[in-house]
Amino acid sequence: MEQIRVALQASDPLSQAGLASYLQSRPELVLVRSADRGEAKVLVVSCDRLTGEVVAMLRRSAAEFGTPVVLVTGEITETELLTAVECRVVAILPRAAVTADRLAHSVLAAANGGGVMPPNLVGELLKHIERLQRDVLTPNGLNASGLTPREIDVLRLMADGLDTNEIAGELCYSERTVKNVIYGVTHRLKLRNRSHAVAYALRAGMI
Amino acid sequence: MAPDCEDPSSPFAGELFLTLAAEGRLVVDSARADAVISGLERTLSLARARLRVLRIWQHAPAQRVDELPRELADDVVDAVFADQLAPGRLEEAVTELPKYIEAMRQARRLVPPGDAA
Repeated sequence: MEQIRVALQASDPLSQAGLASYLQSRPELVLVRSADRGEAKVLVVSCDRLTGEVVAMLRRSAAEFGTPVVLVTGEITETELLTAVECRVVAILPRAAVTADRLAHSVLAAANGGGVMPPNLVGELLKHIERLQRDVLTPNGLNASGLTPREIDVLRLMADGLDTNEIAGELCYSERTVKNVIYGVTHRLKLRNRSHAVAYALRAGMI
Repeated sequence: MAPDCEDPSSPFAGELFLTLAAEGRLVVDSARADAVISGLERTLSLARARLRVLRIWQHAPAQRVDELPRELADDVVDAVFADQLAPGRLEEAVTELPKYIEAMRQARRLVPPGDAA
């Protein structure tokens, strides 16, 4: 069995000793000395927070060796997550939840993953994309469904069976405004008719 | 190679996503990637439309909301207010969202359906 060479860097001696004992307890892993970090196939980094100092070290390591990193940390924000990913972090383990098995599993996955991020990390990145879209749209009174709050109000009443006149009365709009809203949403979203617009809004979970 | 640091005050990380996809580190199954791309394209289209509204308003000789049709007035008020809260955010979105879209297209191309995240 080929052993996987692992380098370890922790921000405090206790974590260094604890994680080293976890790694050394696994026959498939071999811990390399700090000076031999360049030979490691995986780097394990432990820190309470992703401080500037830790980020600088990760950047240097990424630039110099490009080794995949398993990060053990107390807490991490979304911005820090992006920074970590940029620095070749491929797995993040919450400090309080680290066990020898979990650590070994992450190290093996990092070693065998060919640099590809695991699904849970990709999932976190996709959450960033979702949040980003909300941050762009919400302050503008828009949402990812492509419907404005006014359009949603009109569609909701259409779904309740109200005609144009009744919708106008309910929302205190003119009939012309209601017609414009309906025309706008069907035209913009390339919907065929009112029923199609209602179906679209239902499918998008907006009404 | 990691991208140069993006503006730390910006919520966008388009260059990072492009790098991750180009290096094959970001891999997304085709169904999920298509859904994300579709959402991003919709958001981009809305951001561009809203930016057009904002620019028309900014270049209007007399900026009087009460002279606008009600449908447009609401959009103008929303756009101007949002721009006051986060100046330049829409312009940034229109520049950055295409990078995410391209990154997702690259990430999608790299894997057959069902093989990855």
